[in-house]
Amino acid sequence: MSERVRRIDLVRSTLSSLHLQALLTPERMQGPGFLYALLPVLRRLYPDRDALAQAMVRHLAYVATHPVLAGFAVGAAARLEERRAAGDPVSDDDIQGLKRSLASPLAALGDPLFWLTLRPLAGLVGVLTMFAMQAPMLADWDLRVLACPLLTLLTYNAVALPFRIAGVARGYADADQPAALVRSLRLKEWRGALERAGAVAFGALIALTFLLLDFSSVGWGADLARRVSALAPLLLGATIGFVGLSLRPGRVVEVALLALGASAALAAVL
Amino acid sequence: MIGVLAGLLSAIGGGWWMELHRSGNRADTRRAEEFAARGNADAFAWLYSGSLLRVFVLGGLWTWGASLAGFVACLVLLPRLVPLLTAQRVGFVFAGLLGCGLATAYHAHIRRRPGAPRWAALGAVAAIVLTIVLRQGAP
Repeated sequence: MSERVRRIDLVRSTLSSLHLQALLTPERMQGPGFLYALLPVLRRLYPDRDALAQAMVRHLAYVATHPVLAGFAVGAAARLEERRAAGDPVSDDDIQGLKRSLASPLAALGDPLFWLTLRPLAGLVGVLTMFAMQAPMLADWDLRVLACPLLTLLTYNAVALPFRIAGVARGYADADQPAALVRSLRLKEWRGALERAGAVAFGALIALTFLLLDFSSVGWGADLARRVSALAPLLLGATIGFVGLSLRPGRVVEVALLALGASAALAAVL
Repeated sequence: MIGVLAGLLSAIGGGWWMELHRSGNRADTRRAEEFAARGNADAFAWLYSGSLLRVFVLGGLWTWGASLAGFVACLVLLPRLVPLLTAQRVGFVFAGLLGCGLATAYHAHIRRRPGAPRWAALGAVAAIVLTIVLRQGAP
């Protein structure tokens, strides 16, 4: 009779799953990280070295999922390994099939939620804080330089960390119903709510930017044409940003460099 | 300007820098396969911890290295650019970058998202009202 998985093994797996992408390669993606996260469970279940070797090879295989949500797949795999170690008829294909049935939808739902919605929102929260906070000073240092990035990290992790902490235990408990498990996470609802929060924050950013614009060099009495011309560099940057990202989605740094170069070149000839 | 430029260049350079980590990963994965085939869990765990350490060391080195490069660029370039760096020109470039940042935020939060313009308008109104109220309350 093999041992059962203990709570401490799941806790160790949870902690290890935080480092899922340390050994990321295109050939196996998060496979090595998946094995690393599952290792405390496999060690418990397979004291025999040959059986442990087979299990390790099984879980070193290619896995591609979202790192924040990977714990659910790790937990589910731990449950199946436990049954297999106890003598239940669980094949390699059953385990790989369960991993695939969780990993793929979690990646498909997790990428737009965490990378495309939550991460920009967290950045926006940091920027808005820069606008909203009075500058607290320590000697001559503006503490917002520390507070705003910290708030960005806190915002991101306030949403992501509960998924990471709960993942392995929930996956282990609900391994028999992977589809219901994915549905119960309500990732689409999370994404909708965060998209709305991002839009609100964007609106606030636009309003605050224009409230803080200083037209004093143009003069408030200046005619409309002069005021519009004062906005020309802003519009130039926005146009480069919009067209650049439409043509090359995701190439934010390169597009920003292009905007910087174009603005600098124009500023030099003015 | 130099700070922003150093940040952008370091972000691109960071990708090349991390190629060192990726080539290390490829070698480590081959070793991981050997350890897994032998059932050597301890060796695998050590190997994995090593690559984890490499992520932090290379990332940390790059973070400090890029900051240092920006600082050196300031020391070297600023005195030479003094005749060119008028307030109007710097303001022009800053406004260009700000516009690019706003367009990027639009791409991330509004474009192709149903109902987003309504929520953005709500956020703008809330920000304006809050600003007015806070300014009225300020001494």
